[in-house]
Amino acid sequence: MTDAPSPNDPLKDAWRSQPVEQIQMSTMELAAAAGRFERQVHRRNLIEYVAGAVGALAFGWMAIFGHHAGWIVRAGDALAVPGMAFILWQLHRRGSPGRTPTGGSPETLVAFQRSELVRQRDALRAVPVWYISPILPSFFLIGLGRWVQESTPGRSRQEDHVMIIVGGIVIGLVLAVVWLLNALAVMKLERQIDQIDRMQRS
Amino acid sequence: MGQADDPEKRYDDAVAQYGPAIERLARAYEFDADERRDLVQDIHIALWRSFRNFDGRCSIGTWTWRVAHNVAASHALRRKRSRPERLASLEELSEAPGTDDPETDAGQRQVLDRLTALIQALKPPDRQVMMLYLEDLPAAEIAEVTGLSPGAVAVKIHRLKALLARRFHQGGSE
Repeated sequence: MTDAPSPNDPLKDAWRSQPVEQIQMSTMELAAAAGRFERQVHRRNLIEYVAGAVGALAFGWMAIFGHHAGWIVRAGDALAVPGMAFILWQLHRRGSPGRTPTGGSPETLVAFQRSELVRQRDALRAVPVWYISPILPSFFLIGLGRWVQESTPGRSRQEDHVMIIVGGIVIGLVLAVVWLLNALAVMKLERQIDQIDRMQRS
Repeated sequence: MGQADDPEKRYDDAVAQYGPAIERLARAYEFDADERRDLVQDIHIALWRSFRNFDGRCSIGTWTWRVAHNVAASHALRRKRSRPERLASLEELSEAPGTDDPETDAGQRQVLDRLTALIQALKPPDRQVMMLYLEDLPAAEIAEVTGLSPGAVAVKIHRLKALLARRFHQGGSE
C-alpha cells in the first residue's frame, strides 16, 4: 500500500471524474434554510407539547369536574396530570432520536457513529422509566377505583370486573412487548458499539 | 477578525475545493435525485454553521470531510428508519448528468453504478474508508478523518483494493 496518490487507478479516475451539478448556496440561502429547519423543529415540538397539554387538561378536568366518578378514579385522573407533565418535560429535555437533521459534527467519523449509537441506546433503555412508568400509578388507581367503587351502567359488577381484568392484561401485554422490543434493540445497539470498540482497539 | 478567521471565507474555500466531492459523497448515500439535492444542501448548511466553531485543531479539509460524512451518515440512518429497503428505478439511475461521448458515458456509467452499489452495500466505517480512498486521500488523512488507527486504515485499504480488483477485474495498484 502506498500513501501517494494513484493517478493511474481507473476506478479512482472514474469516481472523481463523474459529472456533478456544482450546487452552490449563497449566504442568504444558507441562513434561510437554517432558519426554515429551526422553525420545522420548533413546530414539531409545539405539536407534541400541545397534544400532551390537551391530554393533561382532559385528565385534570375529569379529576375536578367528574363528580359521577368515585374519589379513587378521580385521584387517578389527577395523578395523570403530573405524570404527563413529567413525560413532556423529558421529551423536551431529551429530544426525540433522529431529530438532528444535519448531524454536522466535526468529530471523527468513528467517534460520531459511536456517540450516535450510545445516544440511541440510552434513549431506548430509558423509555420504560420516563415514558411508561410515570403514567402507571394513574392507570392503577383508575382501575382500582372502577373495581371497588363503580361499575358501568347496564353491566353487572361481575362483568365489569372481568372487563377490568381483561383491560389490565391487555395493557400489561402491550407494555411487556414494548419493553421486550426495547431490550432487543438495546442489545443490538450494544453489539454495534462493541464492534466499534473492538475495531478501534485492533 | 482576519479574513482567514472569517467563517464565511472558510466555508467558501471549503466549497470551492470540496464542492464536487460533497456531491459525489451524496450520490453514494442517496439514489433519489431530490433527496440527494436536499442532502447536499444539508451538508452545506452544516458546514456553514460548523465553521463558526472551527478551532484549527485539524485542517479545513479534515474538518470538511468529517462534517460531510457525519451529515450523510445521519441522513442514511433516518432514511433506513423511514424506508428500510429503498430500491432505485432505472430512471433514477439514469438521472446522473452524462458526458458528450455516449460510448465513454455508457462504460463509465456502468462502472460508476456498480461502484456506487458496492459502496452502498458496505457498513459505515468501511463505506467511508472506501469513499475517501476513491477521493485519493492518503492513508494518514483517512485515519485522521475517520478516527481509525493508521494500521486499521492500512488493513482496510488492502482489503478494499482486493475487493475492487475482484469485482472489477483489475490488477490493483499495490
